[in-house]
Amino acid sequence: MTNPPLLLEMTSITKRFPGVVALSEVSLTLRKGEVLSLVGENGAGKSTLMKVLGGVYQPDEGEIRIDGKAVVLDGVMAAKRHGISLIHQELMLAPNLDVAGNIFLGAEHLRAGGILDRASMNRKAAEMMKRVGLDLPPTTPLRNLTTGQMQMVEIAKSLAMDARIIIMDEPTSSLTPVEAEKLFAIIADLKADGISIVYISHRFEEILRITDRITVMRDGRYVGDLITKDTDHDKLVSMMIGRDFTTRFPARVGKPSEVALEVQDLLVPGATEGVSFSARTGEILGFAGLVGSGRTELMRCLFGVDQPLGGTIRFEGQSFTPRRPSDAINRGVYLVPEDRKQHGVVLPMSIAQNVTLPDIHTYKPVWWLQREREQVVANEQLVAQAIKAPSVAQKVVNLSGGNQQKVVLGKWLAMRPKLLILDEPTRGIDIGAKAEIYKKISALADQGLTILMVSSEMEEVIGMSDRVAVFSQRRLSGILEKDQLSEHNIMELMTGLVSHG
Amino acid sequence: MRKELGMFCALVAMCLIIGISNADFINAANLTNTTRQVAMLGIFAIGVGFVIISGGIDLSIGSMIGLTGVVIASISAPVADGVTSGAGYPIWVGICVAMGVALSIGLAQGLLITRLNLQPFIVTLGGMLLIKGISQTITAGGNISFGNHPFRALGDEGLNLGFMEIPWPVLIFLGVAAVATYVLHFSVFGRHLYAIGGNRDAALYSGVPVKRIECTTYVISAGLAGVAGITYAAYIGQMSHSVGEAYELYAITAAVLGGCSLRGGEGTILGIFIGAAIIRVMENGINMFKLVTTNAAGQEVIWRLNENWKNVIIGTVILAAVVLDQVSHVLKNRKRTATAQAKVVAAIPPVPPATG
Repeated sequence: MTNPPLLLEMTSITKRFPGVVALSEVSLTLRKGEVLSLVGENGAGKSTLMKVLGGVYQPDEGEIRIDGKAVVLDGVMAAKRHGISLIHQELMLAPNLDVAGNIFLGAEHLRAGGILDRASMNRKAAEMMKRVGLDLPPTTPLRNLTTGQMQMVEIAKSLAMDARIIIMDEPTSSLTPVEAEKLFAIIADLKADGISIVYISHRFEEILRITDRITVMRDGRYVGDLITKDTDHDKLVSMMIGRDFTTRFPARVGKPSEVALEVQDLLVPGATEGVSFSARTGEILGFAGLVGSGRTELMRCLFGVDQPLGGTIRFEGQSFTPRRPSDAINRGVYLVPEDRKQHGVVLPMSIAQNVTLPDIHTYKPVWWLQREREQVVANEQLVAQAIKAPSVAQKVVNLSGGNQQKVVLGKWLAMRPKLLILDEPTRGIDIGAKAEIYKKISALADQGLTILMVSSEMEEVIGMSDRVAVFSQRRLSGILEKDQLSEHNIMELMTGLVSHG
Repeated sequence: MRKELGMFCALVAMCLIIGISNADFINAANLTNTTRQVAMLGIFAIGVGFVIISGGIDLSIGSMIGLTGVVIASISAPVADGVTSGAGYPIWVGICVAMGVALSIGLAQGLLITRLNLQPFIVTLGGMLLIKGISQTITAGGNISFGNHPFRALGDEGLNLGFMEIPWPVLIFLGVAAVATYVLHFSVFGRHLYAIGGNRDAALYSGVPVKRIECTTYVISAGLAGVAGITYAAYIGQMSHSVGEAYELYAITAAVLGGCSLRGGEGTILGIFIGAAIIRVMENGINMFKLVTTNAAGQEVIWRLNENWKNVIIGTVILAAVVLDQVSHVLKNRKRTATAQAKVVAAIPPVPPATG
């Protein structure tokens, strides 16, 4: 087999963000008609590298060559002119337009006088839709399509602009198995037409099946290339995770005691089956899985934001059915949400006002809010959580992400939690603040709190948890005991290769 | 408080300029009249302020002011000849029924917005037309006159302190402002309100009864529009469906000029009062302002602002205020980003970046 010529060469790409080196001298090559998979853990830099290729980010160092000629991709339009098309994980389509309108969005065909040439667009769209196996009139409103069909519209859109390189970021994450099969068939067709594809996925089974070559990234760096037909699952996993632990996790002194939380066949909206697990007093139960595997939705049900469709929850021996967050809060069940800015803090309010928000009614014995007592309580948390701020009167909007997270933590810890739900507690937080938060979480478990911790960071979930529940495709695929905890075991459950009872 | 201080300085400057250009501005009659106007606007501007601080909007309050007056007139105005007339019941009956109607409509709008998740703009826009239509139906498109009913003293007279008279609407406003200040700045309700306006989801995740509080703001807004409606009815004395037309826009303008953000989470009672004062003083000033010059022939020439420019001037002032606010916002954000980045960079230990 002769190798077709190199279409794309990315050499020594470095990209820095304030305080972080996201990519460090990463190289990547792509041949004409090749399907390349880019793999790595969350935060390995895959998306950043693809955004550099798609013209979203400009690299600080390094060179990009297409057909051997150096190019500058200073914007999405520049990348498109070079035939590079990036399909995001969350599809970027306008549900209010029809299929043809979406395919030609930003590249509309016009007649004289600037009038939309719908006939021409519909004709061309039909042609593109045929190539991706979409048997629909081009005038179908996009919102009537399934997610799988929308994915095909995105691909048709790439074809309409004569893309030579199509980047697909987790394309199967929201597809049914049947839709995924259809996608693979189309990828094979595109490949036969000489179009190159960069395929980002966490699902090894797919990667091993449909790609020619695999580029592995870790911590913003290039690790190596594998030829798919010479590779197996274990080789790939070891290449992805082979590294030393860089963060020290605090030692635990307490031992989990009696069962505090019992969840039985809880049917979370959007889940495919009921979830059952239990957590003990003084235990940290980790929840591993990919983004979108259904963990956050479960936590929202436990906190009363959403209502489960079935099943039972028992907490401290009594039935627990929170219909709104205040019901959970009244039982000492608190949630530190995943999206801090969206659900955690009220940015324009002060640290003190954020800390006392859930139980502000207890600060009003008769008429006036006790501002002095509020200050005292907030100050206690300022010290206890080591929040770096000049005073509790500081507005939360002026704090760094790590300190905002400590405010959310302080808000709940001021109220003596019994069960603390932490959803991605260290996401987007720098290393120093992370270590402090780990220490705090361990100490809380030692004091007899029950902690549920959702985390997509492998090290964190292994380093912190007593047991780990692993989610895959919106179901609980297994619970690992302390002595079974390894990246390998978690990864296997996460990618759905095996299933532990 | 910085915003309030800025607007207060603007208000003082405006008063000085008008006062210097025309001494009549500070005569007793004009001052009494202007403060009465400020107070009547202030009452319902505070009401809509509650809604705005929670992140909503209420467009129905102008119509609500009209309806309150029409209801009072149709029940309590003296019986007279003609198509429409009052029924001659005691005044307190009219006032109680009118307030009951206002509070019920406010509650209905609040429930529609919070329980059915409808957009406040649309619900209260519909409410605005509907309420006005009810007024028009009651008055059959005409007027109901209070004649010289003693109720009218509420609008025209005041508490006589001997050396000066404080108009009743001003006293009512001061009462409303005091209670509103307590509720907004010193009670749990107020804290929850700011939290909802600042970040509705975070408030919900903190156990704040978001929907109940949002709904209550529409009841407060309608209720204070009702109170303002009582004073307008007494002041105008002749009710038709067009009373209160476009008043909601004056109230929203007052709130925004006074530092409320339509995105929610910002605003104070003091600010809303200053905003209301600016609008009314500006209106009064457009009538009052004059420049006296002497022409070549030695004759005095008086130059006045054209009355028809009123809306142009007010519109320009509103736009200038929001532009200024946005510019200061952008500058502040830019500064924060710069300092935040500097901090992060400084926190990195001086090792080669390649170790990432």
